[in-house]
Amino acid sequence: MDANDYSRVAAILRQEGQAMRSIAATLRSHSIGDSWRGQSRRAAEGSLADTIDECHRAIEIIDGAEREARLLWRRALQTPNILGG
Amino acid sequence: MGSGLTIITPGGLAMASEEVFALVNQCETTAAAVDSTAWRLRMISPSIPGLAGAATATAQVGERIIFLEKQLRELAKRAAEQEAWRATNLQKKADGTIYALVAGMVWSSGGRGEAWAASMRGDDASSSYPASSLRGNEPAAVTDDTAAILRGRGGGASGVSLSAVESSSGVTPATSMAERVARIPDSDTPIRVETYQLPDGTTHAEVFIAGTNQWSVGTGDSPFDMESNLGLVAGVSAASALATTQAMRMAGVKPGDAVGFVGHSQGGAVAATLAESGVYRTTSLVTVGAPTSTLPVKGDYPAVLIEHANDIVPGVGGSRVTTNATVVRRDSGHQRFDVLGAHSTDSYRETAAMIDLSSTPELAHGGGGPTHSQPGRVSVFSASRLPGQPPPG
Repeated sequence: MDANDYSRVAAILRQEGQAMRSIAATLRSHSIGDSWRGQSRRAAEGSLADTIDECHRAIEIIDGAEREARLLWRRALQTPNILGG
Repeated sequence: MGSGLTIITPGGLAMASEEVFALVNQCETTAAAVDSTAWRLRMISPSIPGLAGAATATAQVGERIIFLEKQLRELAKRAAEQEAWRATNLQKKADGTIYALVAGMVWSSGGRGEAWAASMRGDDASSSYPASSLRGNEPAAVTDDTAAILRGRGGGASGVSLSAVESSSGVTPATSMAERVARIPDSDTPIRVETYQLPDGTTHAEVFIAGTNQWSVGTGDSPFDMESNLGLVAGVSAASALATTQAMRMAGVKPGDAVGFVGHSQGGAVAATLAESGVYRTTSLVTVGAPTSTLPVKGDYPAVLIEHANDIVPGVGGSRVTTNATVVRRDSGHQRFDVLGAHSTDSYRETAAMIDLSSTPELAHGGGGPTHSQPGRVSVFSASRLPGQPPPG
């Protein structure tokens, strides 16, 4: 693995983090309205809120992995003297 | 990174596999978190219509992260295998193993060159060394017998005869890496020596050395043949190095003079050997597409080794030992089996021009040592082996 490899990994994780943010935004903007079925409106709202929380936790973990890849990228650039020209 | 150059300055190269595995674990945790979200979304989407798309998108994110994790795991595994392979084979080298440039012999033995080239790239699953997806080619290991034969033959350094085919004055020193690579002569006249008399009375020379021009093993008339390649990589004497020192002597370069060396392919191995010989006061070294991995730069002078990732020749010198040189790698963009394209001086000239645009301090000198604009003299030499010359003592 050299600096370029870590850079690519960080870029992929960033992209996936953005995808999850977009999903979280979709969930937040979703209106339960009259469309819920088979359970009380309150329960449906609770399930959606839990899922949004879960989604945010996933985003935090993805961001952590991206930070780790960036850290390794910077270290590859500096300490072992591998530079992308 | 936009230029496509990878520049490795002295000090080290690979990140520890453990760090890669740590990143793999991070990806694993991430994938699990995303999978959990996707599961929740699948559970609630039947009750809350409109969320099916979000569930699918989340599952896709999870799949992509799992794919990334698998790729990282494979890279870490191969890196660890390569390190183990290097350690084992570098130890063997101490008791006589050489990593030899056997391509020419294989090619001349009837079309097995592509198979060999494929195995060098790691395409051949039956090869005895790990496939190399991270850093290009691992060498073929040729042991004991070849080294013994070379030593018995005096390493191929039987007598050579030199002829100056061109000699003129008024040449000015090259000022860039591209210009230096462009001055490497054709293999028919493989040695070009430029000498400059400096105002302080000292001589500065630049020597440009071409690559292999005969793929025979000491049976042709060129000292730049496979026998010399093997001799250089094995660390014994080589007719091409002998021819170069003879040409330098004929051009008036004396031991202790300041000399910059530039060489392509075998010429690069000759350049690295002479730069480290201690005979001259080496001011700079530039090699392009040369099997210099086992010819470390230990001296304190600017040294740049330029290698195309898809050129098989730099890889056949063996696993790279610690060097003070700056290594610049680039994929030349040639097709997989276009060995000559990736190895040609034309394609290396393009890379040299890109290096001239780099802001990396280790590359700021244009491949040269002390700068001066003193006009000098250029001599170009042809060289041939002396027939029937017995190997030296």
